[in-house]
Amino acid sequence: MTPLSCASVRRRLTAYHDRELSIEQLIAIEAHLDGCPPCATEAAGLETLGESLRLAAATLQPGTDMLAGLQPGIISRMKAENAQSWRAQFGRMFEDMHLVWIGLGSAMATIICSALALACLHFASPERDDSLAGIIATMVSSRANLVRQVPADTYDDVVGNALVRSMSEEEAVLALAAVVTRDGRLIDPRWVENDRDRQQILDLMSAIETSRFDTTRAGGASVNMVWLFAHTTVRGKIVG
Amino acid sequence: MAEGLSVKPARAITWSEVASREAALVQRCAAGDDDACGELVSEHQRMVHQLALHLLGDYNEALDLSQEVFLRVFRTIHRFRGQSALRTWIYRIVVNQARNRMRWWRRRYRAQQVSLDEHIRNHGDLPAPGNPAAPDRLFGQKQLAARIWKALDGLPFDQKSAIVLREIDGLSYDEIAFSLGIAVGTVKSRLARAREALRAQLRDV
Ligand SMILES: [Zn+2]
Repeated sequence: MTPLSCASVRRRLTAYHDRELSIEQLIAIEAHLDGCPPCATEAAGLETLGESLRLAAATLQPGTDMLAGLQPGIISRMKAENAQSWRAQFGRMFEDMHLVWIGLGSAMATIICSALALACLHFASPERDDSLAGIIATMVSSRANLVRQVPADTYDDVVGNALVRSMSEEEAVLALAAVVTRDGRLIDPRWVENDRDRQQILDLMSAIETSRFDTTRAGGASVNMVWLFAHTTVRGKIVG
Repeated sequence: MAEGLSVKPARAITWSEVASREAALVQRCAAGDDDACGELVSEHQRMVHQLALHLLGDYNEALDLSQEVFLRVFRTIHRFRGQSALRTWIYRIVVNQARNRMRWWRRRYRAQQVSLDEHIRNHGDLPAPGNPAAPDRLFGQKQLAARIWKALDGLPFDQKSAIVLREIDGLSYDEIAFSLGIAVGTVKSRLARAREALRAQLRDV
């Protein structure tokens, strides 16, 4: 083994002191220190410093009683923290539940509304015959019932002809001028012919005025949408 | 010269028995077993408190820090994978907590630095009873200790923690590197600077 120089020993002296060298290096340095007082003094200085630090540490030794409260203190704090974290977790859960309730409520409301709407659609009668839409639908579907549209200045002749054509023992055809309201009532009806029995016409008029414009019960009234406000022809059975 | 063999401090023993016992204790702590946590505290409290005391220089601060350290240990013990000995892992937590506390202290009490003489005066108890040393020798030791603590306290925290871990707690370079979260080369240079500064201050010791 080649003897080490002082310089290379000094480079490794702290590692030697800290026991961080390989066994070979350790032996080589020890061998050098045995025969080199300056390097040995340097090594002793490191040793003294270490011992001083350990001595200083020893003067700060806490008594055993000092640490007596440490363990129970830690365990109880841990328990408290755990409990708090559980509480916090529960708290967060309830916060979340709050939102969940709102969400669930909204979802339920939507479902109920949808169900109700569907039920209404399902159970509602398809269409009232006396509603305006019903009247129009009837009118559209049965072309036979379509009222002939008559210009205002020629209706006498037209209505007269229609009256002659459709006259029967049970039926009377009158030409009326009236307004049909949204709910199917006739407002302010006026007859436009005079050659019928006046009393019979008045009875009919009052009957019309007090009853609803019901196509089925009136025996199939037809309303022309285009002429709704100008010309509406009501064809009803004369009762009695 | 062969580099393969090296002498490690006796503390670095990794008997499988010890390791498996430690692993079992860690697992029980991670599972929230109070008894296991208590056991772990009992086993390491002296070491933790001493390191905290050496780094902070105040008994009560060290006690307070020890509590924080163990709470931190139990909060993060599920992350302990045996990459080091449990002891070294706990050292690392002590050093980190102490560093944070020193920073906080320095920010807060920058102006009024408390000297270690004062610490010794306030807290420097006599060594454990049964010490055969004569009173005058004890007095000399206390004086010396006060000077050493003052010198140590004058070091930057990183140098101080390196020298304390090496000389007082007897950690290896590897263990110090892990505890401080630095490379082994940095450990060596910090130790060298710390020793140089201390020897300059304690020349006549
Ligand atoms: Zn030499």
